[in-house]
Amino acid sequence: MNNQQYPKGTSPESNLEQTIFGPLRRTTPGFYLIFGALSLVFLWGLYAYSLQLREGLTVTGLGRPVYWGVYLTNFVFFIGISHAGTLISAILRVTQAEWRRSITRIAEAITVFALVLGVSQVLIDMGRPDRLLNPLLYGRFQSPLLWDFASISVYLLSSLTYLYLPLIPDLARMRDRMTDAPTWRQTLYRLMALGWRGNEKQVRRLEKAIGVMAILIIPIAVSVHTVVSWVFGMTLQPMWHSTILGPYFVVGAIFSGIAMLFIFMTLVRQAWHLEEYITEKQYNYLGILLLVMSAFWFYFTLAEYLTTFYGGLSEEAPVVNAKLFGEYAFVFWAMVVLNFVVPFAILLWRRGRGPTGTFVASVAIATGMWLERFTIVAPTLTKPGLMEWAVYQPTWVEVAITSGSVALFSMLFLVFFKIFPAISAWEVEEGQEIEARNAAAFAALAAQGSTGASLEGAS
Amino acid sequence: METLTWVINTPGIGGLMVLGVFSICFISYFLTLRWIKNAADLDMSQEESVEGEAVHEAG
Repeated sequence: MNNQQYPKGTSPESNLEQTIFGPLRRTTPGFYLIFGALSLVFLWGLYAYSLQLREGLTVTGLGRPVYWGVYLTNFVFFIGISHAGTLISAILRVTQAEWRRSITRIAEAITVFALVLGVSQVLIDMGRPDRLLNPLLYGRFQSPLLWDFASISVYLLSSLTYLYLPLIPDLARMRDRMTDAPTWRQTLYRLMALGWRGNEKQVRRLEKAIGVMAILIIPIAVSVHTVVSWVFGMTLQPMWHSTILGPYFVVGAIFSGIAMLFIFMTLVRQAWHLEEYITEKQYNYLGILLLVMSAFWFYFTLAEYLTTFYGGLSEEAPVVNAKLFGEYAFVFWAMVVLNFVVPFAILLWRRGRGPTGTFVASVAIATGMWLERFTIVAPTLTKPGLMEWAVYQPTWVEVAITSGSVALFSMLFLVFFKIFPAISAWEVEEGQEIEARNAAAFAALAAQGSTGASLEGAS
Repeated sequence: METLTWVINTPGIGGLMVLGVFSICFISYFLTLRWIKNAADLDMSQEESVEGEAVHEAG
């Protein structure tokens, strides 16, 4: 790690620093325009939520027996995309994949904001948010809802810490460099930098803490989506009571997480002009990973639906038929096309694994994965095992709240990267140093080889 | 077995378990951050040493 300090006004900023600090100093009209548009959508959602609070859940399509609809779909979707940070950052860090360095922070930020939005969906679905503490006060640990409470709260705390730890050296750099920032931001950087001096001992402790967190957060993340699946799987409802649901949810989560990372890293790369650091290499490698996850997702979907359809159990047959041929057929087949056909058609080719191709494939996957979550939640509840069947039709209130949630997610992301750098500067510098060392070693070896060859030739 | 049944069946105990797990994590992460912060005033010469007798000096 580059542990040099930057006293105020000394040593010129490097090219990397100028690139990543630039967007933090200047705010373009485009930023205000996008932020304004997102705010309008968010306010629309807020209005719809205030209406729901006033009138109750009757303004939604929810009711007996469809207690969970679009909101729980959003919950599973947001918790799913929160796996972006875990997979990209933690796994790539543990395996020392050098190309990860410029994209880890974006992935970690997605994780935190997606978790915040995911949790808020449960509050919205409850109808009475004042009852939030009831599961803690009266809940028994045999309930998967409490397991969910435990795993998500630990995951949120761990993700925040995991986002914060690699940010510390950059915060110190901003504390020392961005003396032209408003006072509140300078104070924020100073407090959050934890007195970072970058001496050898501090660097060693930080790297040790990041290393431990990277290992720790992988099982936590896997447990989170497994437990989310168990909230469904522990019931005896048709097509929910399945042993495959845990791994199926985890695969879908990682899949949608990578897609969301592609979407946001492409937008940030474009808006913040980070083309030099987020290169074709990241798109290619991550694109291959996305392709593999698409194949995994299809395999799990096939395994789940083929066995259920083939078995034709009396309670499951109506649900699977509704998905494959009935009222949910359009959503189901759109999901298959968006999650499997479109990504394969684009990402199978090297040319497709560039910024444009991966962005298009990722938007398709994000949409497809939301539809996938919807086909898991809604059809089963419209045809439950022990109750009368029903029809579920989301209302404009649910559409508005969902749109507002997506807008809020994007706004949190935008604001965060207006205050903090989108790229981990010290990690990128470390990568550049390693690359330079390797290149020098390779050149020395090559020179040695050519000397040896010429000596052999002479003899 | 009775204890286990009591733990998973008693209202409120589940909440306490969730709070317990969360608190352990919170305290651990807080101590980690403090450990990193405290290293700002230390240099390598102050690092605790647990070295034993050097091999070439042994015997």
